[in-house]
Amino acid sequence: MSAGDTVDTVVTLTTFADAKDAYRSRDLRQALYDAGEVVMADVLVNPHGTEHRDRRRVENRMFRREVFERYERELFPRVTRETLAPYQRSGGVGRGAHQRHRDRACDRPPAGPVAAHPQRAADAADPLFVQRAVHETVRLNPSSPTGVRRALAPVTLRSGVEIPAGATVVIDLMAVNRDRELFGPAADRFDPDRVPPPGVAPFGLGFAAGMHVCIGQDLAAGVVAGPGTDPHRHLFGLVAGAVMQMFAAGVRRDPDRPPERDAATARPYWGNCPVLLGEGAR
Amino acid sequence: MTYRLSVDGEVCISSGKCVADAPSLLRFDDDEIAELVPGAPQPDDATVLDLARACPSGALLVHDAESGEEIDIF
Repeated sequence: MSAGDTVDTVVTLTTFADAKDAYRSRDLRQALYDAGEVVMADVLVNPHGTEHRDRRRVENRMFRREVFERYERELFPRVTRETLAPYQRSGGVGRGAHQRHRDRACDRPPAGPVAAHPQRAADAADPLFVQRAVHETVRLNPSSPTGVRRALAPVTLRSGVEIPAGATVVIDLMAVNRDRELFGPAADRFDPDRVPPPGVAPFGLGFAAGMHVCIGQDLAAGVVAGPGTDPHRHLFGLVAGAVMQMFAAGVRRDPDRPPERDAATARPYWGNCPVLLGEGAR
Repeated sequence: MTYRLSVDGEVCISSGKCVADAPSLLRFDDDEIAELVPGAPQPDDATVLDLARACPSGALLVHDAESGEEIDIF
C-alpha cells in the first residue's frame, strides 16, 4: 500500500481503551493544530516529538503541587473575589461589555449541577461534592471534544484496531467519556456521585493522556479525592473554588436571558451565559 | 502477584505527580526526570498501580516482580 492510498484515511476512536492507547502511542503524532501550521510553522512552541517532551519537562516545573497549593490557597480566592466584586455590586454577569465573555468551565449553565439535584442543594457548600460535580462536567463536556493524531507508522491498538501509516486518528472524547464499559448503562447521566472503575479518572480522558496531557489538569481540577482524603489538606482545583465562591455570592440563572451557544465555533461552548448575583431574588 | 515499579526516563515529562504523591518512593534526578528512591521499601501492589495509572505520560511501568515482565495496567 502506498502512502497515497492512506492519506485520506480517518480512523475515529470511540472507546476509552482505544483512546488511552492512542494517547500513549509514540507513532501517533499530535495533529490537532495542523490547520494552524500557517501561523505555527516558525514559532518556538513545537508540539512534536522530543522537542515537545523537553519543553514540557521545563514547563512542568512551574506546574507542580507546591505551586498549585499557593494558587488555590492564597492567590486564586482573592483574584476570584476581586473579579466578582463589581458584578456583585451590579447584580449580575453577562451584561454590556461582558456580554461576549466565554466561560468554558460553564459548559453546563450555572447552578446546573445543583438544579439537577435539588435535594443536594446543601451540598453546594461541600467542596468535595462541588469538585465531583466539576469532574463530572468535564467528563461529559470536555473543553476539547476531540483529539487528533496523525499516524507516522502503521499502528495496531491493543483492541486490534489497525491504523495505517498516514491516517488521521480522531479521538471522539464525547463518546469515549460515555463508554458504557467503564461508566455503566447510565454513562450519559450527570451523576457527581458515580464511582469510576480503578485506574479511570472521574473526568475520564477529558484532559487527554500521554505526552500531550493537559498541563493544567491538577490546577483546574485539583487532586482526585479518595477514601482517605483529608479535606483540610486536599486540593479541590481552581474551578471548584471559583464555583463555590460563585454560589457564596448567590449565583443563579438570569430567568429573563437563557444561555446561548457560541455560534463562532463548532465546539459546544456557551458564548453567553448570563447569571444573577447577590441577595436580590433569593 | 507482587508488582514492581520502573520509570521510563525517555517518556517522563517531569509532571511531578509521582514525586508529590509518593516522595518516599520517587524523586527527581539531576535532569528532573523521575527515578526510584534507592533502597526505598517495596510499596504494596495497590500503591504501585495507583502511581502508574496516575502518571500522565505513562512513564511509570509495572512489572511482575518475579518474571520482570511488564504488565498491562489499563
